[in-house]
Amino acid sequence: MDLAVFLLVISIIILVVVEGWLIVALVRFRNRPEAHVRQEHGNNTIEAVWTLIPAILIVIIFVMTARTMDSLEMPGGDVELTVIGHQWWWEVRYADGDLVTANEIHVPVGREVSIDLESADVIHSFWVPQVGGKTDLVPGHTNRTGFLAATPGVYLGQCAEFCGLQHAHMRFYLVVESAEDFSAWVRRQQAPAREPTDPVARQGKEVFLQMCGGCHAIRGTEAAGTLGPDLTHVAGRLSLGAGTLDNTTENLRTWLRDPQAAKPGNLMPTMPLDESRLDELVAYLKGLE
Amino acid sequence: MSQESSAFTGPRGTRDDEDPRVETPPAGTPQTDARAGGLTAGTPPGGIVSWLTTTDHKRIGILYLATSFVFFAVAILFALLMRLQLAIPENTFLSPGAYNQVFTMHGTTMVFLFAMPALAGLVNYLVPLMIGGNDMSFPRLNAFSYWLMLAGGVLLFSSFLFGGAPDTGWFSYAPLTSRVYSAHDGVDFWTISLVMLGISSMAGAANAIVTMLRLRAPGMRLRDMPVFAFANFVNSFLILFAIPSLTAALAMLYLDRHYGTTFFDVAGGGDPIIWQHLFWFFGHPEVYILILPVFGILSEVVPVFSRKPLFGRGTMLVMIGVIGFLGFTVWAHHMFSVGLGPLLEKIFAGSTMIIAIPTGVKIFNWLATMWGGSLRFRSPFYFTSGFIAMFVIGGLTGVTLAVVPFDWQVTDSYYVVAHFHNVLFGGTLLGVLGGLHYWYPKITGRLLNERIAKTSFWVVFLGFNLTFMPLYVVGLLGMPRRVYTWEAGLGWEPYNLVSSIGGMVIATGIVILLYNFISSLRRGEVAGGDPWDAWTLEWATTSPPPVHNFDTLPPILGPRPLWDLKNPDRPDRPRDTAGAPTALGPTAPVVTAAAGAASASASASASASAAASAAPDAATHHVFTPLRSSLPFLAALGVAAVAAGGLGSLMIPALGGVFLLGVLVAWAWQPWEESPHAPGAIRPSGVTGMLLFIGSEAIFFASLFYAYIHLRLHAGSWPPEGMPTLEVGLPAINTVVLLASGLFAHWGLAGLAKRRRTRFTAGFSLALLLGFTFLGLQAYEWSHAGFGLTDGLLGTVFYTLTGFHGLHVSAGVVLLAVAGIRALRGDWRAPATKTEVGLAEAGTYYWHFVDVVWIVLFSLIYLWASSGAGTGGMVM
Repeated sequence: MDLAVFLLVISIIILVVVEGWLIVALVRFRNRPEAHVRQEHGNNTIEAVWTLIPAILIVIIFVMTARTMDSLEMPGGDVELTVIGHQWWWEVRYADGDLVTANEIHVPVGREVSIDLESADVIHSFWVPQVGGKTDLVPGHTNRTGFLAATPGVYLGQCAEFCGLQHAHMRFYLVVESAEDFSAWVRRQQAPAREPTDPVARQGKEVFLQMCGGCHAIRGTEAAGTLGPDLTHVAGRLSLGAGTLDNTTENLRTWLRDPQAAKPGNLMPTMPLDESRLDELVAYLKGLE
Repeated sequence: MSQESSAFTGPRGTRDDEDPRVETPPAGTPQTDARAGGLTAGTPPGGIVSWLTTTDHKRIGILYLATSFVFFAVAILFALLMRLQLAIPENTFLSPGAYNQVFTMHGTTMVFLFAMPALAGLVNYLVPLMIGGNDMSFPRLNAFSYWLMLAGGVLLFSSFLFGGAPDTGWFSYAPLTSRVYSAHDGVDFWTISLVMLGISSMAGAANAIVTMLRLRAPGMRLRDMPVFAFANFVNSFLILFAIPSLTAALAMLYLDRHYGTTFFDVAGGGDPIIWQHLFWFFGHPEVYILILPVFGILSEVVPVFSRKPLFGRGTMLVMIGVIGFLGFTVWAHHMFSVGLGPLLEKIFAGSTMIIAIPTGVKIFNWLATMWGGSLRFRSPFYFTSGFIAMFVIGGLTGVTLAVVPFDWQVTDSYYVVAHFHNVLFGGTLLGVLGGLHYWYPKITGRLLNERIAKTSFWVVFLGFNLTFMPLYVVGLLGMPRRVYTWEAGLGWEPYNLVSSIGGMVIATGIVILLYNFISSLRRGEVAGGDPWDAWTLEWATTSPPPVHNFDTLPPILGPRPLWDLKNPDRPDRPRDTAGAPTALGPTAPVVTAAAGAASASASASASASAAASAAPDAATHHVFTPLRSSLPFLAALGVAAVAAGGLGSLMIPALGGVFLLGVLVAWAWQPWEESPHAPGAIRPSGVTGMLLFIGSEAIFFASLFYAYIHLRLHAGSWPPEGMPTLEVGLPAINTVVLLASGLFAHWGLAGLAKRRRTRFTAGFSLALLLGFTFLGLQAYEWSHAGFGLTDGLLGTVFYTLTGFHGLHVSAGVVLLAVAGIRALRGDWRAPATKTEVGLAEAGTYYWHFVDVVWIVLFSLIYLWASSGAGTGGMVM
């Protein structure tokens, strides 16, 4: 970006000049005989010059900043979604259709994305370093950010405003994919949860409704809790615990056995699950593609 | 008058704990008044009691410095814990809860308990010496400031024993600090101790300003003061006007947490953004508060070790003022990601960038001072050169943070952490250490070991660069701040590891440095009065100076009095004072501080007999009598006990309150001005101090009014749904009552000056009566308002604003009553002295201020009691 390069160049020039000046002075005037020193109190012309030079530079930097800001049009809404910050996870709601997910944002490559940012509790900040700058999620306000992702890939995003105990593990993934992949993903996400066929997984569903449904929702079942992430298609996600663990079967088991181990202090309590119920629950959740 | 001045000529070179001035008060100088009420002048007893009761600015300065370095060591320990935790990915050395406490306490301690007290210590020790004075203007208040700081610090750290330290960051953004999200008491400890530390700093700042206005040696103009003193003169205004904004925010936070108001609670109509505006309106000037005095240190050290005067001294002074002013205009650059809108973002970007200009000029002028000089590579000069090298980087990266789109990317990342450490460590800390190496011989009488000092510099300097340069990179790579752990595989590993190693190097350097400071106390070479061949007044006395600072002062005809004295053939300025050229000779008669003050004071009080009858004034003018008083320490103890009440228990604050009341009553009957003030000053020091206090109070109320207006515009229509519109009738009557009270106070005050006892009594009595009437009517209105403090936004703002105003009215009533009784007990046959009238004058000014606040409050709350929807467009 022009502005960044310009800043870098100008900073390096000033740095070299000033540090060079300091070093030359230190070397050249070290321990000179004091008799040679002229008691010079100042020089108005010189001072005026080195007041003006930085002033001119500042004006240039300011103008470039303002012009860059003006050129940053807020993208239109090819894809519109709302991201709601929670301690310590991200709720993601797409404007079109019945699409709610968590800790993962999928967008089609090369399209303009517009995101409304809200908070359910404290202040958070939305940041995907490789895509753009930060915008805060402030309770009582709706902020807007947007971007156009040019290269497909998976980008790590994270909360950038200190939000309490597990600020460090409030991450998410931005998945930039082809238009076809994106549409397929949307269709999958819009569908209600898959009914388990396997008897172990069926048992797992019962366990879920009994122990987990108060906080988590799975569309198509009676579970409609809103305190934790919607888990309708949890098996298709990249991570568990908002970027704390990769979403593998083993990690899911670890997480369910004691969510406080990997992410101490998070708001999910450790449930009394014996090994067989754990097996059932894992089987059910892994089926929710 | 020579009789009095002889009291100053104790043997040179005595340490202050062996006070030579055995207090035979000069004949005809009554001391009884000063001794009344527990103040004793005399040979201080040794040991701890002498430190608890000292009001000597040098001892208080040493207390500040020693205390700040204890907190500094602890805060470095916190930093090491953080770097240990972050050295490798997914580390489990610290739990998230522990890490959050540690980073919160690191920042809070470094800012409020290291940097501020260390600078206050230098100001305390040096400013009276630099201006040729005997002490600060308010020695007891000075001691109180120190003890209050210590009490605040101890209270903050005691949180570790009671459920955990604060863990919401030194910025503590709402609503994370609400009881819902921070249920434990850490936030309360933080809130209450910060209020105490803020009051301590403000009292110190007002004291410093009055000292510099009133106690400069004859012939020294403000602009002739050493730049360190001048920088702190400006800086003290920053402290006075920035901290009240924080105090107001803390008050709202406390009310929200404990009394159900909803300033920051969205569910109750509040807005957390108010916290950010108020916090950063304090927080950004705070950054300059931590650097302006250090600019002053550089401007002392660089010239002396370059053997040249400061290049462009006048510009340097002006730029300090400019930076101080601009510091108040940039706060929202901390909030570029909040969603301020492009216009405000551009305005704050511009104002932030402008600060680079005066700052750059300062660096250029220091370099120009060195250019063509004869550089002496002694330890203080190492630190100041290190400062220049590092501060340039901090300044440049600071400009990049003002570039809004760049800021969006790097704010709240490790880039910012690296930037402000470049400024606060590479800047403030290196500068303070340079200053300590420079003034250590003055304070202790011994030289530091140069070899160890230079070693410690290089270790600290190298460690600093190892620690913080990698953090710029890792910030640009996307590592956010304030995370207790980070994920492997993102390429952050080497940078974090190097940074952690650097942290250990810094700690090693600091240990070497502290060892040098401690061991040189005994083993250092004896320094003599002027080891650096320097030019400012603090070097014109022994090291350490005697209690009264100076036996004699050189003539002061410019900013470098000792240069003029040492170089009579080529002084700084052509002499423009009559008879001065001969005064420069070493054998010429020297002006003694005592004689100067005494003669001027004598002319002020017309005759020697008048001086005797106006006893308290004359006594304090003639002879500097360092008083000992246990009251400041006891008062701070009382405040600490009351403050503990904010944390839940009841017994301690109740007892503490009674105790504090007793101390304050005792204090109220003491001489209210105890130090000599400049002869012929327009008004007593105490009145000037009151005017400064009123200035800071105005910022406090402005912050409350801002919160009210912000909330109101945010709400759309006013009063909020279902709430009554406030009646104007009773408050209108109350307005008349309060204004009439102010007029009577003023009328009575003039009576005091004119020695009309009846008029004074009538005026002050009526003022008090009307003051009580006002409070009674206010209480009646509260009880009949039909809604309470917790009833939504209206309750929140109405009771908070009128409540704080009512508290100030109550304080004003007490002040007027004390001033009135004291004036009535005075001698009404003798002509009034300025000091005698001063207390009543100060009380009356405060009373007028309370009136003015009421008029604003009445207009904003009652006259503008309702407005429709659609006014909400302006909310920031």
